Amino acid sequence: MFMNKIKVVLGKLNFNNKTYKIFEVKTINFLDEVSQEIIKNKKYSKYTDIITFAFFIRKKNLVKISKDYKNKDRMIGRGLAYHIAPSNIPINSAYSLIFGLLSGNSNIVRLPSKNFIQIKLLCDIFFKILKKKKYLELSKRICLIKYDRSDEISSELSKKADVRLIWGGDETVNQFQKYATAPRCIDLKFANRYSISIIDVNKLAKLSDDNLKIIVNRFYNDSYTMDQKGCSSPQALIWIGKNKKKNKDKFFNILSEIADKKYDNDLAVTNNKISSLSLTAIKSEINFISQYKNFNLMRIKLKKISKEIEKIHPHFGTFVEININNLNELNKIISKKIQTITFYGINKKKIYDFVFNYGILGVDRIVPIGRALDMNIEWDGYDVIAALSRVIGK
Amino acid sequence: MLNYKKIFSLKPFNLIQKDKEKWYFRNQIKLCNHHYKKCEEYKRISDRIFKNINYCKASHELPFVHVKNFKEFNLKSVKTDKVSRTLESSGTSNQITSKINIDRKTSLLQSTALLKIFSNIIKKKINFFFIDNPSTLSRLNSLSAKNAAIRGFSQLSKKSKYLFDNKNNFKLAELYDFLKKKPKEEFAIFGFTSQIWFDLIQKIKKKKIYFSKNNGILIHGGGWKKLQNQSVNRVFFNKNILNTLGIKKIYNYYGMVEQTGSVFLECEYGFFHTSIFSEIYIRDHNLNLAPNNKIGLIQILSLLPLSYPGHNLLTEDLGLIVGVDDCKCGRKGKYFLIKGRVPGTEKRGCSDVYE
Repeated sequence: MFMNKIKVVLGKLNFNNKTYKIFEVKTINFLDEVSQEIIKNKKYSKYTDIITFAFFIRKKNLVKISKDYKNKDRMIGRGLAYHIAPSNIPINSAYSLIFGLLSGNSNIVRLPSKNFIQIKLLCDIFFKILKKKKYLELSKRICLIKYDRSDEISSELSKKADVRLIWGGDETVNQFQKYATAPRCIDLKFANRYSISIIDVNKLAKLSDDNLKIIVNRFYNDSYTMDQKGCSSPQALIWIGKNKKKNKDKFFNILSEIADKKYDNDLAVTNNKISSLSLTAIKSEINFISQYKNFNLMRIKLKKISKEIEKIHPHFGTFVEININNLNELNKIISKKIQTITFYGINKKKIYDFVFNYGILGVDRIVPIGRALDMNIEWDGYDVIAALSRVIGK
Repeated sequence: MLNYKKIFSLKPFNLIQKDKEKWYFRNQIKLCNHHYKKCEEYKRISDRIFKNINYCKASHELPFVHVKNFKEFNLKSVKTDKVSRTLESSGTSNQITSKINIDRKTSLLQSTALLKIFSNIIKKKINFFFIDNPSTLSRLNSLSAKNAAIRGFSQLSKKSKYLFDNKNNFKLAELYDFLKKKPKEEFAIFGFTSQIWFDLIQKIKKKKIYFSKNNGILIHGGGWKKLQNQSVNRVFFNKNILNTLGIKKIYNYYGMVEQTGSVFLECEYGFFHTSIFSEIYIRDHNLNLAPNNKIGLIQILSLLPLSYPGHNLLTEDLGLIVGVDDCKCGRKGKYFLIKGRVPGTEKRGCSDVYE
């Protein structure tokens, strides 16, 4: 029996035959209690991802988000949500779960096999609060599991699911597409993506040194965190405006200094970085030159602009640089694969206008520099709450 | 092209570093230009990552290939029909194997260099015993680094014997009979470090046939990884060789399948030595040259590879340079130690998931 091979980390593997309204008060109260528990206890303060999560699930924030759903009184969960969490970002499992809860579903979350401390800590908090009598029913909607890669288990759970959230990129999506699901089951597929950052170099030039440092520091957090491997981490940097070499060099010098202090650039990173750069150099059909002063920051300068940039996968502090004169030139670069645009010095509306005027197939997110990694209910082009729920027509 | 006749006329361990450097650079830059012209992949790496070869002023500035590239691409600097055989790395634990395309000329250079290097310890032709079975050598097209070595050593041998038959049965009697007849004669045993330990030594211990002290030379290479799991180090290994085989002269070497021939011989004091065919650099986390005694990534150069761009390699091995020209063994040039392999990086990010 496949269920014997599943390790249940939290909750029970039962399949609830009931569904709930979106942003149900009890769910919000529960998440708020989780949030308070995290914020008041100092032992969590060193986990910035847990803290960010705690702020996200505060009652105040959730109520605010819920107000965007004009039809929320007619919206209800689809039933059973089966989450395949990515193995590398611990906090992502938690976001996926709460999206499932807030949209009124019962949830089975396959956790990553690696024992992340963040997941352990969060499970302990959930367990403690779910024990309360008032959350008895809610507790039946949460089941966190682990199992070794298994076609049998994944296909059995897929059969039962009303909605699947498949994180983990192309490979995982392709894998799970092989398993049959119910005809009405909905899949949210999170494929491999590519993200870029756009900076108006003239605006940058006007910044005081201190303010420049703040912006660069935000850019550092967006990119170097997670070795630049998050799907929303900027991989290409688009400079807009007249080619001001001096200002760009200054930006990168500061970035390199920050990386020097904060980034753990050990021999393993160096080895991976140079080997993937060699691989890219051999494979890439677009010509480029690479340039570095300090190996913790590698600049890749393209000889021409092309949508092929998405095939260059820079990691560990490697940035593809492109110069354009105005936003419309982005049209030559942006493919379906582009997910997040982070920006500085550009009017956000102009980026939206560009996307709509050209009918751009990519771009699922436009946020200021520094917010690339912030998880949100709107992700990868989905309104996750809306996608996970049904709206009862009138 | 390089004047190999001249190169092979030099003694492999006699050049002091200062004299070697300019000479080596002159030869190495020719080799770089050859691969740049003949190998599109090498050209791309050079153009896109490194500075123009002709602006380089020393060997350490020349463009290198990462060892992984030999697993990802079928690199060659000759036309396919010139490739006489393809060496493959042993590829332990589900790794993809490297493919090294060798033409006749490169093959000849490699066995000649190996011969030169080992002439330093084997002065005249002697009997050789290989820890292998004869059939491996007959597999012509796909050969391992070990077989290339066996070919090279064959030129130093009066008679070659294999200590395993084609069914991989152990034939210790060959060695036993030889020593019974000629207990004082010089001879050599060659095999991979792990095979010598697991196949030879353990079997001798099991059969309890111990040899008395003799004039044998044991040559082994291929790495310590499998042995380290059992906490076998050089001293322990050598002590066991003496107690079982009765051999005191034991030479380990460091080499990569990508640079067959120009191996780094370990001296009597336990240090690996560069020869005139090779050079070593240690790179720090910024890819800068690390100072002596500091651990970094090992980069190795060789003057031998013509048919594939293996002349300048960044490896995934860690090591440190101990000194230059002043090893007590008398060999000149750089000498160094190996310190294992660079660990993999932690997987992060949204993709490559579902584990």
